[in-house]
Formats: sequence, structure tokens, C-alpha cells
Amino acid sequence: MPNINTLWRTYQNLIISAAILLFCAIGFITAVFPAVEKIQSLLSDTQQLTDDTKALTAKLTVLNALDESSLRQQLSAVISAVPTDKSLPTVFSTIEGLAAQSGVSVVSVDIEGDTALATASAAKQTPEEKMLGTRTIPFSATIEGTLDAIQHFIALAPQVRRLLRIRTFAITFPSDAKPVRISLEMDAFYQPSPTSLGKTGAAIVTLSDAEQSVISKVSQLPQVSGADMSLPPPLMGQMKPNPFAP
Amino acid sequence: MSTSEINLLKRSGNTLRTLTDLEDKLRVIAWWSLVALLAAGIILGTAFFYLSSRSDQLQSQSAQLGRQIDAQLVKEGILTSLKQRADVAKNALDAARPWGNLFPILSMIALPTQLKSISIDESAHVRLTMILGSVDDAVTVVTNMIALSGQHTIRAPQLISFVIKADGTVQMGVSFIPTL
Repeated sequence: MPNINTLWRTYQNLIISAAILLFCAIGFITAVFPAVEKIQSLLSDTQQLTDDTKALTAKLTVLNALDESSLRQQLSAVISAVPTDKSLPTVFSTIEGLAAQSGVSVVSVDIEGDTALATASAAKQTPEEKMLGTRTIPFSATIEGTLDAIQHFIALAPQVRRLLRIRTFAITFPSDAKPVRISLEMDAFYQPSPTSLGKTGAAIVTLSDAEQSVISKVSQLPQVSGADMSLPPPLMGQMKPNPFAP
Repeated sequence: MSTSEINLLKRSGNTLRTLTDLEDKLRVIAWWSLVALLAAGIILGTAFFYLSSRSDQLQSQSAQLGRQIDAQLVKEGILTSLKQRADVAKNALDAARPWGNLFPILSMIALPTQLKSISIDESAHVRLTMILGSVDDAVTVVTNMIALSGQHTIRAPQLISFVIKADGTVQMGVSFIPTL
């Protein structure tokens, strides 16, 4: 005991200073350094949140600038050119409308390919469809009329809504006074609508000039089918939270 | 009383100076360490509270923006569908060849009354079969095709068949690729 008192008296200042240093060292190790790490993590999270907020703000600005009614109008025009399903009645009605406008008569229209499937979900894309980037309905048509009327039909076919493509044709000129007959192999186009959107934070871009140009061009094409191509009900935004729920 | 009886610590002179210097330096270091610890605590505490409140504010703002965007999901869906369908329509428009432009070219090759059949295949080859009144008419057709080929109106002209019938008429088949 006397030794301890002696030691304390001798080295009192040293002991107090050492104790303070020890306390500071423990404080730095247990509090300051972990706090620095925590703040670095918080800083990184805050930066990420800032970036996300900027992206969301930009997306909301784009959406607010869009007029839904004009978008619906444009979509309706483009859907009438390239429907969301095969829409076989419009194929027939378009051929009939073309025939009526050009003054030819339709002898026959035959739809080729797999027409038994109700939807396109099970149909596989052919290599040509993959190359085109759209699904096609191949069909053949036999038309009769004067050569001028047939020329008019061929010239008009790629310039109407619904969009059609002539792949091949064969014109036979009869030796007598019978009308000229043409057999055409054609394609109509369709493309199912997308059924999912990206995440809420996924960026969206407005229509580019090229896309606006295409939409404008399609909108100006005459509609000869006379069919009502109203917009299908919206699939997106009404997804069931539980897809297995009745 | 002699000094030897006073309870004084007896040290050597050098040890005392060393110990005193050490005490002074250690005291300075200790107090400065304490000041540094307090300052670090204040600064880090302030930074932590600021960043926490900023993070909470941004999360709240982000959630509000997310709700506003979700309220316009239909509009976003229409835009997405429109962009996709515009690309599809462009592909369809590009795939369609303007075959209506073929007939003015045909009229530069032969008369309509001379044509027996016209066919095109998927590689855009046009095949004409013609019934011509004479070999001279056939030469005229060939000359016309050569001229059109020189003007790049048609490409790859070929004579497919050439039959002179007993009555002097010529049945001729040609093919070419038109520049539409």
C-alpha cells in the first residue's frame, strides 16, 4: 500500500495523462472510426437516392408533357395499320376495299399458314418474321379486271391501312376478251401488344422524330376496310397482384 | 531537524528532468487528443444528423414521385406500345415494294398487247413472256431493255427463251430486276 501511494504521488500526472490518452484511443476505435464508415455509407446512399429522384423527376416531366388523348389517337391509327392480333376480317375487308377503289373484282382470298391458333402467344416466329421484326399473315388473292385496274390495285395495296405487302404476283393475259387475271401472294402484318412495363424508375423517352414521321405517314394512309379499329382495353396498369386469383 | 529526517523523495537530477519532460509532453498530447475526440464527435454527429434527415427527405420525395408516376401508368403503357408499334410499322412499310412503279417500266419495254404473262418472285425478279409479231419486234424489245439497263432503270436483264413460230411470230421470255 505504501508503495502504491508512493507510486501515485510520483507518477500522478503521468497516470492521468495516460488514462486520458487511453480513453481517447478507445473513443477513436469504438466510436469515431465506425461513425466515419457509417457516414460514408450514408453518403453513398444519399447520392444514390439523389440520382434516383432526378431520374424519377425526369420521367414524371416527360409523362406530364404528354397528352394522353393525342397518344391514344396516334396509337389507334398505328393499330389500324398493324393490329394487335391477326384480325382476319380486316384483311378481307381491306382487300375488298382495295378492289372496290381500283375497279377489280376479287375471285378468291385464301389465308395461308397456321390460322387455328386463337392467339399469337403459341406461334413461333419464322426467320423472315424475325428479320422483319413483325408477325405476318401470308395470304393469296386472285383478282380480275382490266390491266389499268390491276395496276391501280397493285399501286394502292402498299399504301392503305391496314399495311399489306405484295410478295409475288403473276398476271396472265388471256388471248380472248376475258378480263386479265392476277394471282398475288401477300402478307398482312400484326404485332401483339406488350404486356409488361419496366420498373417505376425505368427511364422513358418521348417519340423520336423518326417515330413521329412513321406515325404521321401511317395516319395519312387511307383506311379502305371500313372496319372499326378501336383501341383494345389497356392491359398495363391493371395487373392483378396475384395472377392466380380468380 | 536535519534534512535527512524530512520525508522527501530522493531522486537523481537527470531522472527528475526526464520525468518532468515526459509528463509535460504526455499532458499536452492527452489534452489535444481529448480535444480532437470531442471535435470529431461534434463534426461526425452533425454530419450524421444532416445526412439522415436528407436521406429521409429524399426517400419521401422519391416515394411521392413514384406514386405520381404510377398514377400515369396507362399513359406510359400507351407510349411504350406506340413506340414499339411505330417500329413495327416502319419495318412493314420498308418491307413493301412499290410494285405500282413496275408498269411504267414495262410500257417502255413492250406494248401491253404484246404481253402474255408477267410474274415476279420474292427476290424481285420480273419475268415477262411476250408474243411478238416479228423478229424485228423482238429486237426492239431487246434494244429497249439494253437502254433501260444503261439508265439503271433495270438490272440483270436476261433472255430466258426465244421461239420463232411457223407463222413468224416470236414468243420471247425475259427477266430483269427493276429499280423501283
